[in-house]
Amino acid sequence: MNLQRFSSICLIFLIALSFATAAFAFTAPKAEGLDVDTVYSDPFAYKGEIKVRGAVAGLESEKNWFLVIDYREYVACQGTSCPAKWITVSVSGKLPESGKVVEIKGVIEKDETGKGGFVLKASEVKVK
Amino acid sequence: MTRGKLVLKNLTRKKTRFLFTVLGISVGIASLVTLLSLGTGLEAEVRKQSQELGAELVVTPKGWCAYEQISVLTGETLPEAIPNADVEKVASIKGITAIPYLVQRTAIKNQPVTVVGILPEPMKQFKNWQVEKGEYRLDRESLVVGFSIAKQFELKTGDKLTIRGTEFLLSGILKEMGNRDDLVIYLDLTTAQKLYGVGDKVSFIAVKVDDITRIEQYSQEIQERANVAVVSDKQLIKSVMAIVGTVRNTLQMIAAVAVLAAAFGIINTMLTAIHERKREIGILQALGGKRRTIFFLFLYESALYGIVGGVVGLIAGFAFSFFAAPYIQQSEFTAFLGSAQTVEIFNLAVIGQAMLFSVLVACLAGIYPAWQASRLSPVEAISYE
Repeated sequence: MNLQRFSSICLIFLIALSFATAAFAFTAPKAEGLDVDTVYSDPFAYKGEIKVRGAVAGLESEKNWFLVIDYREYVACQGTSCPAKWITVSVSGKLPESGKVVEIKGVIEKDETGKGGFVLKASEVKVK
Repeated sequence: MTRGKLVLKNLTRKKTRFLFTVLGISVGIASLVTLLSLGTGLEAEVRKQSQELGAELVVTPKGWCAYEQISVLTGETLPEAIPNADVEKVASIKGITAIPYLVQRTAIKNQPVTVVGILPEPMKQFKNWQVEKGEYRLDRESLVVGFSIAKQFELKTGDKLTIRGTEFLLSGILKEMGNRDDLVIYLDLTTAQKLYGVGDKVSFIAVKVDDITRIEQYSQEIQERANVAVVSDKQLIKSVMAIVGTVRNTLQMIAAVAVLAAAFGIINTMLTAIHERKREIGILQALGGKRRTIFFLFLYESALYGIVGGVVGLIAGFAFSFFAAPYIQQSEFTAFLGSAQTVEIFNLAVIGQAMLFSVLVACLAGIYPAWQASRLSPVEAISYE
């Protein structure tokens, strides 16, 4: 094998390695919207439809609810186990899978059974 | 022909080989530059935000994760976990000023806004705030706001603001500080604690020390007296680096593999060059060229690979840091530092370190081939066909 061919193979290998490691390193998909912790602090300050981003931390299929935690905490903790705050989301359709990053469009409604005395009634849930 | 010209001529004799060898070291240096640029930019950002906070130490609840530590700087909602008893214990230590913060959020016109519960007078002195409009009154019915918030939402003194269902009178607007203080609504600490239902707890305590040389002793004393953790700006930087560890580890690995491959590439190129130029080496020796001269001729060639590869790597690395890295790090960095620029481009220290490293690697890789060239005997060299 001549030197040029060897160098080309090395270079291609390095580029492939870069892409492969990058692909494995960044697993949290990009999401946009208000953060869960932000909304949770003063939920009734938000009027009308809002968009919230977060990660699904639990499902309550009998109520058609799911629990969503702060996106940034999900990224930092690399999982859904550490945050102490979450928002209860009520949906009319199919529940998203646990651990998925979602963008939710909906309105805040008073509901004592929801965490913090409210639920986010979703009109659209986009799984990222 | 001078030595410099000879080295240049030899290098560019085989252009494709030269290009591939330079490319090899460039990839390694580009990865290194990206890594250093991210690191220095991030450190500068954390330092800047620490200075804006105005505290040498930050007292946090024990067990706070890196995300929560960084949120102290970014003004995100923080869990309330330090009871008033601990605040008093910290404040009673001689030589320090302790300022408790309760950080929460609300919304104005559906836009999230940071609300901070403070002790009005100590905080005013600590931050050296001045009032732009109205008066500095924080109590059960009144609050003050930062300059930018007032501007953004067109707020005037006398306006009513509703926070968690309670109406407050906007008594004053602070003078512009040019930092995050301008983006906050300030409430009296006790009122904020009641409003957010957190008992007598605060999120963290900012600590200013009288004698900066005794910072370690203060830190130890605080932890001995109260059930808390103490974080310095250096530790905050460490926390950020821990969070973004995946990015750094990936880049470090790419840089290490690329530099190693590049070093072997240089050795290979130089050994091939020596083999091809045996006769030339012999003629040089016959003309009175000393072993040392031949050794350094080949070492210079190798070093030149380092210089050219270093320059190309620097350009590629800075370009990558500027254009691509902010997208790659979106989920990792911007989650903590808002939209702040976390990549520092054209940092002299980075340029110096990368160039030095590139030349050093190239020189080290060139030692063995140069030594091989210098120990050829004139007869062996000149008779080579």
